[in-house]
Parts: sequence; structure tokens; C-alpha cells
Amino acid sequence: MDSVVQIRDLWVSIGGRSILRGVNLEIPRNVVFAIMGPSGSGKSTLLRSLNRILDLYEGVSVKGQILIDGVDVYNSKTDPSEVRRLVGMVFQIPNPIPNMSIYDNVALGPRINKLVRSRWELDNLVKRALEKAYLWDEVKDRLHLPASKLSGGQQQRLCIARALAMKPKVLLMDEPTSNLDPVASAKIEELIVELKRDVTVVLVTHNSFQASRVSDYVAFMYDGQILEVGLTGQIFTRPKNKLTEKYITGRFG
Amino acid sequence: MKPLMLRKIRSLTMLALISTAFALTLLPVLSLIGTVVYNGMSVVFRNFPGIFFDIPAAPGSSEVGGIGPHLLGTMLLVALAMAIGTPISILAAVFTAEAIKSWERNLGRLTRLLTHMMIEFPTIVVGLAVYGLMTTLAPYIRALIPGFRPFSLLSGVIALIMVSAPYMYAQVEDGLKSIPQHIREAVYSLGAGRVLTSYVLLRYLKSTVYAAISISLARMISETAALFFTAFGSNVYPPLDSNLLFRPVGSLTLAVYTLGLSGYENWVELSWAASFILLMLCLALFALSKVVIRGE
Repeated sequence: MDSVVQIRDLWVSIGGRSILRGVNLEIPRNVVFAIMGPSGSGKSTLLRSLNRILDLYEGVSVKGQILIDGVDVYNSKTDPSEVRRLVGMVFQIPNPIPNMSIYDNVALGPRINKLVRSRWELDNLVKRALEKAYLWDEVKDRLHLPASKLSGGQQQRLCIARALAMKPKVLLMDEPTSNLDPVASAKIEELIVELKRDVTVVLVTHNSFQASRVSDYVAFMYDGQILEVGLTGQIFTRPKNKLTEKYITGRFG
Repeated sequence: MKPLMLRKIRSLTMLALISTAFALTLLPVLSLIGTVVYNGMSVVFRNFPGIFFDIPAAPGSSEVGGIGPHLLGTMLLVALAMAIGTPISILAAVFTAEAIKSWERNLGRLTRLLTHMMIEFPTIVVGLAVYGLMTTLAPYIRALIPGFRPFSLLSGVIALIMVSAPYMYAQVEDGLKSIPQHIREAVYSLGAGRVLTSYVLLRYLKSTVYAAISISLARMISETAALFFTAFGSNVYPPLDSNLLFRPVGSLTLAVYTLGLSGYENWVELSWAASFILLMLCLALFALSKVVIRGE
């Protein structure tokens, strides 16, 4: 199996409290990989360790190895910015820069990383990213309005476009629909399924139904460990672990 | 019927009280502006536009002359202090707010603590401290620059920076701190390093930064006490040579004080003119900052 992400014996503690306790995981290329589990199980920390956003927190210690597309993420010679170029991220709260225009928000990544050489190239990149995020038709006439003028669902799709403009290999999504209404959520879910053609999506969700609807693989996390991993169909029909079964049938979590 | 009447009476009483309070707040502001305009404007127009360029007329004469040296002094002091103080304040604020490693965070905490303490220092003490420092260093500086004097433009600039930079630092730092963590993470997640992220965040905070700059500017222009022992004041133009930094200079605020206390009628009038110009500068700055912030 060709895995784009390999996690080997990952231990993470924040402020002396251990959050991840020996996580091993292989994520195949061009799939939607869902990580589900109750609050506090370490899903978000696992996701944040993949692009080293965790570095921004005080008192974090990481042990173990993560390889993303061949890059050893926690090697002391690896520049975190290099990792973040490879790994896009969409957050729980839609977070475009509010007073920046729609266009500039999408162009931010390419500009920071000097991905393009001409205005024409940038225009194209922004257009394609917005198209992939199903947002182009809604915003093409008002690209220069501030991003704060968009609705919550549109802002979240803008954030997806912003991440896609970097042409990442992996897209991390941290409960991307938990702050959206059902209609906007459905649109994002539809989009997630489409995205896997270009990028591997790692989706953290506390909503097991969402995981069953959009993912190809699913991992169940509990108390800093991965209890079960497998094809989504398998996990949702024949879970091996008792806790997984309880979780997906809605008896806890 | 009765309760309705009662409510109406109560409401009217409250309205009256609030209106009175409002008038009482407005009164001192209007009277201050009124007094300064009434006493100062006529003097400005008696020698216009010479008031901006001339030196004060001889004390006791019928002429008023001008406050050119003081205006120039204020401009020099403020321009230099802003040019040096602004980058220092903003960079220090960025360092504190965007600290990641634990030694950076600790140094940032110390910086914040000391700076917040500095905000509370009486400015006359700041001026005295700078004077003390310059006097102590004077023999060594004179070895390099023979004309150096502790009473100088340089001392004034240092004092102004010490008075005003902590404010700018605190405002920019508060602004950066108030940015939600998820916005900061969004910029980092796009592959920006710390310098670029800080730049993007400062641009996001544009109006806060502008406000901090204009408030510092107003504070520097109106600062008096810190300049007594440093810039010292002067009623003549300093020679514009390489020793400019090391000689005393005048300032509008010092002019208001020294000319106003001189007892000569024409100098007192000149003091009012300086007050008027000072007030207009500060009001203009205030208006400008409002326009800039609204434009955002």
C-alpha cells in the first residue's frame, strides 16, 4: 500500500500531560481518512502534530516519527514551514483573515511561498482553487470584497480554497462542519468526497455519521490511542472493538 | 393611570440627570478649547505667517515675534523619536506576542512587566534619569564628540522615546494578543515563518497600529516634563550643523511654560500662541487618526 502519511509510535505531551500515547498509523494516498472519537481523545492533537502547528503551543514534547510524502516531519533538520507547505489545514472555526479580500485570502499561501511568478498565474491559481472549493460561481463578481462579507459556509469553503491554492499533498480538516448549519455542512461533505482526487484528506470528526458518509477509511481514537483502523464499511458494519461499537451506535461519546 | 405618570416623571428625571452630566463633561473641554483659541488665535494672526518662523521678539517690546525655533525643535524631537521609537516598540510587541520557545516567552513576560511599569513612571523622573545618565556619560561622549552637552536634542529624543514607546508597545502587543489563535494558526499553516506571520497579523491590525502611532505622536508633541532636563529649551535657532544633536533645542511645550512664566506681556501672548498651535496640532492628529481608522 502506498501511504502518504506514516506515523510511528507517536507520543505527545502538552504541559506534562500525555495526550497521545503511542500512535501508529498509515494513511493511503488519495482517500478520505476519518479520525473519530469522543472529545479529549487526542484527535485534534494528532492532526496538529502532522503539520507541526503544535509547535506554537507552550510545553509541547513530541516523541516518535511522522513521515509525510517522504519528509521526516520532526527531524531536527526539517523546517516546519516546509511541512506546512505540504500539508494544508482547515480549522473548526472558519478563519479567513476577515479584513482581507476573498482574492487575497486565497492568494495568501502562494504569495507567502512565492509559488507564482506573474499576476496572470496567480489569478489562474486563485480561480482554480475557488472552483475546486465550489465557491467560484458565488464569488467571481466580488473577489475584492472582504472575506467577512461571506456566510459561514462560504467562509469555510474559502478556507478550503486557501489551503488548496498551496497544492498540498495532504489536507487536514479539524471538524470543519461543526460550526455550520446542516445545508452548509452537506455542501462541505460533498466537497470532501470530490477533493480526494487531488489530495489526501485527513478528517477529524466527532460525528460518526459524517465519518460513515464521506470517508474511505476510519480510525477510532480513545484516550490518546488508536483502538481500531479499517475500511469505513468494515468498521461501521463489523467493528472488532467493543468501544468502537458503542461509539458508532451512539451509546457514548 | 397613576403608575404611568410615575414612570414618566421618573424617566424625565433620569433624562435631566443624564443631560446635566453630559453638559458637565462637555463644559471643561469646550472651555479649554475656547480659552486657548480666544487668547491664542489673535496673537497668531498678529504676526502671520511670521509666527511660525521668527524668533521671539525682545522681552517687553510691542512686537511678539514668533516661535520658529520651538516649532522646529518639536519637529526634530518628534521626528527622531518616532523614527527610532516606532520600530523598537512594534518589534518588541511582536517579539512578546509571538514568542514560541519558553525562553522567548519568559523574556517577553519580563519585557511586558517592565514596560507596563514604565508607563506609570512620572515623566519628569524619566527626564531627570536621562539627564543623570547623559551627565555621567558626558566625559566619555565628549572624547568622541567635543561639543556634546547633556542638555541636548539627543537627550530629548531619548526621553521622548522612553515616555512614549511603552504606550505604543502596549497597544500593539494587546492588539496582537487579541487576535484569535485560529487566525494565527491559519497563517502559520500556509507555510509562513514567524516573520511573515507577524507581518500578515500586523497588516490585519492596521487600524490598531495606526491608532498607536498617532497616539504616540500626540503624546510626544504634548510632552513637557520629560524635556525640562533634556532638550532644555532655547529661544534661538540651533545652527544646523553636525553638532545639532548635541545642543539644546526648544519645543512648543517648553515655550508655553517658559514664555508664559516670563512675566513679559509680549512673551505671555506668545505663550498663548504656542498653546493654540499645540492644541491645533493635537486636534488635527486626533481627527486624522479617526479618519484613518474609519477608512479601514
